[in-house]
Amino acid sequence: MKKSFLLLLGFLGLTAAFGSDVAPYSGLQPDSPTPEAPAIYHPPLEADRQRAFFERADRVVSYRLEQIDPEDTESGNFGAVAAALYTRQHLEWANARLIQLLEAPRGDMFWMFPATAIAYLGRDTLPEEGRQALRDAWRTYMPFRGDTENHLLMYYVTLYLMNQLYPDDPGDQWFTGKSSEENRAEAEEYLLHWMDLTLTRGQGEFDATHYIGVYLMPLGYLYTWSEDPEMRKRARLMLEYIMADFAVELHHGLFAGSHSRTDERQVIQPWNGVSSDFSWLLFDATYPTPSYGWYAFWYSVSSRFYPPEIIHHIARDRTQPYLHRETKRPRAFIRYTDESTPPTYKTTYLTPEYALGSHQGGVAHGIQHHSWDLMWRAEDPRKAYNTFFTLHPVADAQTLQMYFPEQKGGLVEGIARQKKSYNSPDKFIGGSVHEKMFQNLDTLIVLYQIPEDLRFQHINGFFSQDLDPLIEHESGWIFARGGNAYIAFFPLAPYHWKSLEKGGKRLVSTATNNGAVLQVADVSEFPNFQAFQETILNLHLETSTYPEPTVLFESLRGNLLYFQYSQIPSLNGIPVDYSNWKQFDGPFLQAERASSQLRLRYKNQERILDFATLSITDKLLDPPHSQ
Amino acid sequence: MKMNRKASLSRERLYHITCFFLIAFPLIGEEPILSEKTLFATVAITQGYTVGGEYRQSGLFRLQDGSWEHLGFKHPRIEAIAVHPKDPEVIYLAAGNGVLRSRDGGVSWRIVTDWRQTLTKDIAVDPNAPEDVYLATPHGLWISRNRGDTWNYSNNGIQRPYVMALGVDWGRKGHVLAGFEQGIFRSENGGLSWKQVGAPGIQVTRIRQSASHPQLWLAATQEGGLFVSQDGGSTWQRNPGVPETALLYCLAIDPNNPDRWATGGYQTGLWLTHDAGKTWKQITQPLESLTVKEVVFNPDDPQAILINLPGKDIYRSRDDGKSWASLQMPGASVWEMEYLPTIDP
Repeated sequence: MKKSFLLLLGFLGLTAAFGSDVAPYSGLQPDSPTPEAPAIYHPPLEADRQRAFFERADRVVSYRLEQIDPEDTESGNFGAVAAALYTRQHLEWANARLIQLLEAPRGDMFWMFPATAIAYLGRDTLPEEGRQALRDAWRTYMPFRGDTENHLLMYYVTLYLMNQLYPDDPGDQWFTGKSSEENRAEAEEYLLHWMDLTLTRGQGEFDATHYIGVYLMPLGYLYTWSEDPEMRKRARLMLEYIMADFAVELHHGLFAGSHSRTDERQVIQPWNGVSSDFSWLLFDATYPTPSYGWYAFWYSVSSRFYPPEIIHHIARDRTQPYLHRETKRPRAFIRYTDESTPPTYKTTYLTPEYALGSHQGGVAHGIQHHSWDLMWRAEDPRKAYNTFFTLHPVADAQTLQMYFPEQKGGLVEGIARQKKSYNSPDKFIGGSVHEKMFQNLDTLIVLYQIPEDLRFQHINGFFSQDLDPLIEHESGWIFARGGNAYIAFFPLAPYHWKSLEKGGKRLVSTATNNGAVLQVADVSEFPNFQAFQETILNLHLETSTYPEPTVLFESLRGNLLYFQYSQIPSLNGIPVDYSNWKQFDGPFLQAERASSQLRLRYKNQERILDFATLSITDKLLDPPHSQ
Repeated sequence: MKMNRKASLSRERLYHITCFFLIAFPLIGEEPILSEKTLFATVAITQGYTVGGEYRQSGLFRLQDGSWEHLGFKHPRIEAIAVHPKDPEVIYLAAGNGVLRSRDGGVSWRIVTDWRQTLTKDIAVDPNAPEDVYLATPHGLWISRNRGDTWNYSNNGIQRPYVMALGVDWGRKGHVLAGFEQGIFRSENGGLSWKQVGAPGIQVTRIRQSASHPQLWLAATQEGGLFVSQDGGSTWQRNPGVPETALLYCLAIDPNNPDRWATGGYQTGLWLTHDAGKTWKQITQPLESLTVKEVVFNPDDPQAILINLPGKDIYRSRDDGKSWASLQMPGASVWEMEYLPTIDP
């Protein structure tokens, strides 16, 4: 402890030293412009960063508190009750409203997490009546455990904590029929299993733009309220692990690259979602959504775990381009494959002005999957559709059955009732087993070979209204500019355009053997747009679509990419060997496959999260690590 | 799974006696088996439900004096029910949260599995080894030897673990048939090892054994048609009368008449035969929907056949499907209906 404290002081001193000539750091206001030019990173003073973080968390709580009308016990949700308990205001109202809300519990694990936070926040302030109503609900209401990774994590974290709060109750006092000790032991076993699986094979719901909240929140609960010192350490390590994983793919606060899950709104407007709430709350890296987000609220009234300085820097410093690779896993497949969690290999290349990310192809999470995109920096991301991608829309019961245990009949329609776009040929989210990608830095080849018995046999491409200019060149290349990124896109097959209600237009290509080549560059690399186009036109490109999509492309960076749909891609004649990919591999994060250690680096700072010893080690590197 | 049999004889004895009489006097097997049973149904009234939403009165129901009584917790996903053959107050439910077990006829419940068993699909008890409980899950098959107190994974001989249908031979201890993603597998040693016996490469959705003719088994499949075994599950043949392309959900053999079978599925209507599958009648009218999620014959009412049209209701016909009456469970999607020994409320 003493050593860590001294190191922390050292960091504070160093930070203060090189941060002393910058203007005082202030929290970003929801309506204020992005404060920094992309090529400059001003690290905040550590004390200012800490103060600003807690101010932001206070604002999140205040927003919910302001929703309360203490004269009205008929309205107000669990969030309002928690805000009252956290700030110790309107306690009478909170008690009355809580009892009402508990009359007919609903929501499964989405009920369990507010109920748990309220139980802890109200330990000392809730009257007996309210506490008893809350306690009774855990006996009379059986929440469904759910079917996804985040469901189970929330279910077991909250079961663990509630049984810690009532440690000696017999089975007839819990909906499980198990005693407190049994419930806690089962929950602990699951949590350790999940942590181990995440460390060794990656998250299944990896880098989810919406669901990032339902990982940070329960881990925050566990870190704050677990009484077991070992569990607290594990929770702390996992919090930092998930935060670092999040931070390293933030591009000016927006979650870049491939995502296991996203949603219809955020996929075309990358700022507009939960990830931005946390990007703002944790790192002050972008604007929050108008209500600051539901999950960010629960994080703010529970742990308020303050991100270590090094993760803040990793999240914010985009002054240098870097390549980051990860190995993740898909949602566990239960049918139609011999391997339940084959690796998902992610590549993300981030520069000051843009980020390009992808994985090797296939389905990671099906319905809300987002396999690749290019994102460029926008002056005000709240007004921007600063993204570019293609996909093969799939609405197919057989694919769904790979990870849902349901019967086939009516499955597509059933999913579409919950996820509105699922059954639409026009959709912009969802994975396809008929899509494969090969990325090298800021060059991407995406290929499709779509069976002719599938319902949707076309590909969609999102072309933002923010692309200006957009030129369809006679060579077949489409040239565009998004922010300060030049984009060259070569479709392998004929296409046509469809209008969209908002955000831009949709490229549609109906060839079943299909694909595209994408090359991106910073505008500063060329004297003008014309020069960029001429350079691209001079690059060697060979494409064919039969018998299968194939591309040979000499990239802007001087690399020769060869990719045939059914084959392993090759770079400069050497086949890509995914088997040697690490869990994390980039200048900021390093972890071997199946490793219990994550190494974070930023300039002269190094932080090692060691899950085997449950320790965190900080070091100063000499010479500084090169980003 | 299931059991629909007299409790007074040992299952083993009954099996041998039945086999003898079937060989010697084939018609005797058609004699009705008398019993006093109650209809149980595991129901989800889930229109519009997503995880985290409100589930109305979902879970386990029994038909008591003409009206439905809800037992235990509301739960959106209880796919199967089984009872202890000697102690009908011991009830097992294959539920989303694992196996729920009651020892007092449904008054109190305990989740007897842990985090490893989730979204469970079917459950069955061995009538000749009543402590042995078999559990089908999307992640594989589990066995308990102590009424569900502890569970062990069973995968010896299995390649793809997804399993959703179980049947324990009521005449032979430890003989279990299971419907996996890639066909019908059988164990003759209480689940210690498994061997494929039918429907290779075809996903099996339901398995049923005749309550009167123990050698007769049926298996419904997803896009493979209906399979029949006349030799206790050793060999299986596809019945040509039911379309191979059908997505079959449910299956029933009349406990009083082994030649009377019914099956149904997604947009299939109800398929009914009275001659052991030689000829079939497809009933589509006057059904409100063509999807039939569950079907069961009433052992105490030889004329009656009950079906569930998911999202609609549970219906009963006493005229071989010509007309149907509602059993007053509007909106119900039924995972399983089963006539089980009556328990005093």
